Amino acid sequence: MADLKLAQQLSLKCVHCGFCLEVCPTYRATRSEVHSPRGRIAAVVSGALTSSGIETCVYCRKCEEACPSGVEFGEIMSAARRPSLEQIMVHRILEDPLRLYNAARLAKMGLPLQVARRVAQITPEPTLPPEYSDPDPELILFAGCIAPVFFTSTVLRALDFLRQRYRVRLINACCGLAHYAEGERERALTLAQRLGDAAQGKPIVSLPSNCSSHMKAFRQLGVEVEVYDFPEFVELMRLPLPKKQLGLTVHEPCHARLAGLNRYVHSALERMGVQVVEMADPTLECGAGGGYIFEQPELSDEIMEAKKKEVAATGCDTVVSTNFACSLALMRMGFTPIHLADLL
Amino acid sequence: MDVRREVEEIVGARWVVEGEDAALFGFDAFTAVKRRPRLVALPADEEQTVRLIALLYRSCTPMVFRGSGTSLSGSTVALTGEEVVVSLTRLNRVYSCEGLEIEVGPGLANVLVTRHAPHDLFYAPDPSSYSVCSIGGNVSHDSGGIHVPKYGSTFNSVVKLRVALCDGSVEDVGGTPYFNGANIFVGSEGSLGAVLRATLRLHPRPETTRTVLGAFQDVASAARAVSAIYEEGVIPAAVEMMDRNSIDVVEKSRYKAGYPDCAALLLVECDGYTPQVEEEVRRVRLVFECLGGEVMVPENPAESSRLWLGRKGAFPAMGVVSPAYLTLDSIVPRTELASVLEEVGRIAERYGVMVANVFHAADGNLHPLIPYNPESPKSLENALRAGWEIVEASMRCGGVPSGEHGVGIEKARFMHQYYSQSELEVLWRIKRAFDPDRLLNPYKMLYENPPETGDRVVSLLYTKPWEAE
Amino acid sequence: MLVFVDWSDDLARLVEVRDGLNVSWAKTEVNVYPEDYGQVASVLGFASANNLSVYPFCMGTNPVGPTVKTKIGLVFSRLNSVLEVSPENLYVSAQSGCPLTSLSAELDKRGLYLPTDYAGSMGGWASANAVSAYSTWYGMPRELVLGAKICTGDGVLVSSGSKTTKFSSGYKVWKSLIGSLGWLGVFVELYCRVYPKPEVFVSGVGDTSLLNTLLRGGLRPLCVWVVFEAGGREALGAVFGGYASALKRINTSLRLSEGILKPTTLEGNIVTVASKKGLESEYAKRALSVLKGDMAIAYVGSGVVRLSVKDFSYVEKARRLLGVPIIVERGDYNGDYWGYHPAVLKKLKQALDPKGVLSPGKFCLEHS
Repeated sequence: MADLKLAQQLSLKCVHCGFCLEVCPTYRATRSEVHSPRGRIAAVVSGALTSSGIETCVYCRKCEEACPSGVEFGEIMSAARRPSLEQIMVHRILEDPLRLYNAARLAKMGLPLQVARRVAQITPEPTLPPEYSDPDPELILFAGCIAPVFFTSTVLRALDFLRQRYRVRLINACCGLAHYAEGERERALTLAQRLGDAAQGKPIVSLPSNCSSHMKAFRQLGVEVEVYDFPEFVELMRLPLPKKQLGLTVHEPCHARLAGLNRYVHSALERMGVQVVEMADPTLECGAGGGYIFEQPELSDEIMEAKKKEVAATGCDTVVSTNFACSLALMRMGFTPIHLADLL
Repeated sequence: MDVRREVEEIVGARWVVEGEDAALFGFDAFTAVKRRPRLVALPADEEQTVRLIALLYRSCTPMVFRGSGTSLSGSTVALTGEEVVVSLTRLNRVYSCEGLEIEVGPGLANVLVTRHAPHDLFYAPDPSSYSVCSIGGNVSHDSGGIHVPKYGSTFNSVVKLRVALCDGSVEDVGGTPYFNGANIFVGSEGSLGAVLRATLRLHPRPETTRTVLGAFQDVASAARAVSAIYEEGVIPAAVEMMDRNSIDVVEKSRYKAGYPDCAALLLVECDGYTPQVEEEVRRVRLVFECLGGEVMVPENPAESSRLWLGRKGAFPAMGVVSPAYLTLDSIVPRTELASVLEEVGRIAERYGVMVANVFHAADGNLHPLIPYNPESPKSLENALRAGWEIVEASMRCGGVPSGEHGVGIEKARFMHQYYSQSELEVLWRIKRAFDPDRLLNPYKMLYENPPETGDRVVSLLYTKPWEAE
Repeated sequence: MLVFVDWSDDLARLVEVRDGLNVSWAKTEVNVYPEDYGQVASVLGFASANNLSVYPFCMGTNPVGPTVKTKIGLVFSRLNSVLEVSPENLYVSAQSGCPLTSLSAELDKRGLYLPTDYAGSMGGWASANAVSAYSTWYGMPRELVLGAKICTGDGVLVSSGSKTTKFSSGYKVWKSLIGSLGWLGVFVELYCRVYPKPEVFVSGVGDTSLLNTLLRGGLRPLCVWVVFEAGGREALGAVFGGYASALKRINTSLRLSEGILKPTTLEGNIVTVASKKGLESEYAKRALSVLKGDMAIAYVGSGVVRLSVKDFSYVEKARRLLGVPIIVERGDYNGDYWGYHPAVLKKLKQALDPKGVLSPGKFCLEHS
């Protein structure tokens, strides 16, 4: 599965300047070369794929923005990684929200597995994923994997909002980002194709913004879909928004930032008259990753620690998070995450 | 008890790195030599660091102090493979900030010093790698950056240091008008002790900052313009030069700045009291125009910062052209710039290498970048030899091998050329007074006999010039 | 009258020997007057080989610390030339015995200046790391001296540093000698950074309430100093340098009145306080009251405060209360002049003056 050759070839661009170190959440937490983009690349180049750093990458790809040489770090990780059995198991569960619901319930009952204990610790009570389709739908609402089970009310609100104007079909599924990030590249392609088929050429409005970002890049996998992040759709269509008397801060999810999606969140909030207290660095990684928050409990908690300070400095309790894995992390930090859809 | 176990007892198992992973700490931004240290330890604080150093010294273990690993002279390479790398990255606290002074740990990234300073103050030294390079490394290399012409190098901003000496003692030095024990540690490349804490000088932010770009059709006019600026009474905060090759490289990278097509461009920054800055900008423009330069004055801060980001990203942007390159650092009197650059061109031609020049023109500090193919030992050797000739040419006209990157392993051979035998002996006397067993960063800066590593590049680097032929 | 001791004849073969010095700031048995660097080296080599103590000096205008008593006085008055002035490269090289007045005159002809008001020789200025009102912006000799030819205590000549604006090619031996009062080695030649002389200097006197604006307002004054008197009077002086057109309104806009605040330096018994940079005024006020001094000058931005005091009875108390280095700069004191004794200096002494011939007792190693 791992494509070491490809990873090594992509690594050639790295000049070992280290500009990526201080933006990398795991480097910031450990201050160790092993858990830095530069160190991971050096490990890939030398063929040391068992280096512990290869597994600890959150896959936020913030290093790509800091890289002056244009190294495609995400591609390197995706190509170099060999998913563990545990990761594959997590991926399979995420692929089907119903499966996730059942797994979460088992976890809450005390399933004696490390990853299950972590799920129980991190997630709110699971709910059966809602299903909905208007006849002859003209629009897909894509809720992703986590939202239908743990943020059902957000999904329903978004659905209600869109239904006022469009005939909508709700799809609860996995975009494959977690698979792609953790080295299951072929499976990720299968999921992308499956989603492409399900959409039947209809535009997709996606609720989790990191998934939106990943789906927007489906073209590179040879799958054509028309995808809008929820706030992007709201803003591009200039859908009417209610006025809100609120003070909050905004978390900018990592992949949403890569695709330039966070600006739509800000412009929507501005239209609603919401008071945003900016964090010093709203893009600071939250520690969630995809399956990361479940698979790397120690490191993800350390990354959360830094984010917690950043959010706390704003004095806000409510944090807008358009990505649900991030929302789980923010909840663990003791904040109240809301999606833009929750304000409608 | 073996050293490894004792190290683990001090820093904890999680903070000991060995085996394949240790190799990731075996080199820095001078990538021509990659070695694997025996062990890496990441102490959490000053106390652990001091205990670690004392332990290693007691057990005759050579050690290398390492920060962000961005040295361009290879001064953090674990050359012999026997070294334990002491990573000071976790010592990154800000301890206090009072008056114009800020007290920080050596692991703190340069950029974060200003971020932790009051809003009306800033930390002046800003090497191109400022977003990541550590303060400990800056102190150890006496790093410069683009603002040296007005604000000086790291040396000028170091007020006090807390140093750990090899016997496990800790001393606060500096901060005194007379005898100043901090001076010797700045630029000592981790060969006398470890920097545990640095008290740095902050400067008041200028009222106004302006950028002027001058595009010249020949390098000599640009070089002439540098001196002419000073003759007009202007004290610029920064004067940077980029030649055609380096402009091309930046324009191909993500730092694309929209630089004009020219043989050499100068980027000048003036800062200070507004009316004074306005007059300085007027005079810089005049100088440029008189020497045939095309002038561009950015309209807004965003445009200025784009121009400067291009310059700051110029080194690593070489990655778009070549996966490996050498960065030289010789420094010459400003008046010699034009002739040395001409010589650099001739050397490049003779060796068939591309040389991109992007450098601190006001300081006469050249940074020829020479790309090579890391897969080909011949290509590397060719680049090294071209580089040596450039350094020698610089030294012939009153220059120095390194202005701000340090000697490390990259320029160790020049020490025997730059200094006389009796001068070197005095440097050795200092080294021995602090490190009698020669365990601190061995073979960096000073060496007598080349290290026996079996590595071809290492033996090439450690060939004394007169033995080379 | 020459003191006839067996070594002085040997010494006289190396260099011109004359009578020693018997003044309040130094006592030497003989004085020697080297005419070139080789003679400096041979005198120090000879002294080291024969365990003869040496006191290096030139004009004797600014002695610092305890008075030393040595066999040999090493006088730099004949090494007094300006060697090179480079307006393009903005440096000057001069021999260490060169008086700053002659250097300044030479620089002035070329439209340049060295920002200091020090009155003695180049070597003295560098060896004392002398502070001045100009230190606010330009710093001290520590910042201004780019390189030097030095001679170690055992007579080895070393070129250290360069004429270039920065140097990272080996230990900064010359920087260690700056401020070390000739105790670690001596300067024979210095390379200094100089500046284009501004079109105009504008001086102003004002209220101390302006201090923060001047220090942190981004206006970049060249000099800011504050004078405190025992009676509670305090005043602030500032100097700006630049283009006439640019500075014409600076005094009025800051409500400074035209004029130069006096004094800029002190007489009599002097104590130096190393304050935190930027907090010189606070430290000056506190030190003045604890030391029961007459007057204090805060050289703003330099980290140095100097005070004139009647006597030194409160030095130890001030060290305890202020928690910063406090040095008895000039005057008779029967305690510890320095109050700090880092092992780092001991190591440097061992490396640079292995026989310990230079100014024994100037800096005491054995205090704990």
